[in-house]
Amino acid sequence: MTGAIHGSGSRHVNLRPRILAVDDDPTARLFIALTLSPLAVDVYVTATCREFRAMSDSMAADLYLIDIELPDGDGFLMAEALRARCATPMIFLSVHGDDGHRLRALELGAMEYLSKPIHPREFSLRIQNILTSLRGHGAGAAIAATASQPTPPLIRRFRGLTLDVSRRRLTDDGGRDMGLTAAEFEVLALLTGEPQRVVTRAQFAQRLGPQSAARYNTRIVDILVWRLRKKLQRVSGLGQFIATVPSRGYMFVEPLSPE
Amino acid sequence: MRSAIAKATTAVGASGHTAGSFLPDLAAMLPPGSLHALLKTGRAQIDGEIGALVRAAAAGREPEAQRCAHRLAGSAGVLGLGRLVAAARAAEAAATSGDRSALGSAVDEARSAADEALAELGRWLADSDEPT
Repeated sequence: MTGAIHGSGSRHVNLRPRILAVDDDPTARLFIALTLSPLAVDVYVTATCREFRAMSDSMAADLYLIDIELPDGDGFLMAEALRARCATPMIFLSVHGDDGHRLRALELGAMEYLSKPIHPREFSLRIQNILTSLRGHGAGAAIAATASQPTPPLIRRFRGLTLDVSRRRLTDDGGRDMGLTAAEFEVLALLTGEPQRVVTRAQFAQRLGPQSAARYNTRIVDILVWRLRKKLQRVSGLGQFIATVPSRGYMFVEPLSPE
Repeated sequence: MRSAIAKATTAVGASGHTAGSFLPDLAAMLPPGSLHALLKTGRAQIDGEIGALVRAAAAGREPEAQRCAHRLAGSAGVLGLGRLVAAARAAEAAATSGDRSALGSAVDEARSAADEALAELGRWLADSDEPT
């Protein structure tokens, strides 16, 4: 069973945080959807690991809410696999209240471990507080807004350079590989995926993975952008493809050439 | 009528039978139609899982009993049916350890707690509105 439950509030869909939940218990799924719907969020509930993975692959979420014992797998193992490729905040919700489960969840980087029974108001407030905190870091709405955009092209050309997203290469007009590191590539892919738009540090962190997420208030993104600018400057003679937007993040200001 | 049930629930809770039930809190939080849908789903789930747990335990199918008890605890957990949560978790632990004697006792307690919970849910459902 998969479903999207829209909370009350305005219909600016791209400003509403998305919560993707998985729980095999129908009562718990309904509880999650009903108690969170007043928070002006979009709640998507799934019943199995397979459904959850399919949903998480097809859309960006601002928060994952994960049960541990699922009919087709272990919520911890699924969360571990997710962690390897994204930094979306996670909360575990389980009947297990023991220290072993709590500690495992925290080791995986969970923001909260909630054990049932949990008071419905407490549940709602904890999620609300987490969403407020995420909004404060520029996440949430920005991520949802990104997800609502059309899919950017996989081949992106600008000033004689070609970024091939599927092959993860940046080449010059002679076909020479510019030797970007994996992190530099991710930064450039994210920026060129949204030209003329601000990409926040939280969005970079989301793309770069958990290690970056844990430190995204440090200067790691700034260093990556600095290195990227230097490489672009060296080859193209133009280093200002990437503009700094004070207090927000960065913007790719060079228009992409048509295919 | 709802306040009367809330008082009755509190009274039962005071006697230790359904201490920790969140039903009055859910009633305060949710629109009547949503409350009705949640309670109806919870009742059906608890009814189904306790039956499956009793059958699995009687047949000596511990892994199945463990899964039923786990789901039962989950459903009871979000409704705050404390006694049923405790009994279901005890049954889950006994099934996991393979202790059939402990499982039998835990299932008996879960059956009793489920009957009590189903009766309470029935009272609330009788008083709540059907979703429109």
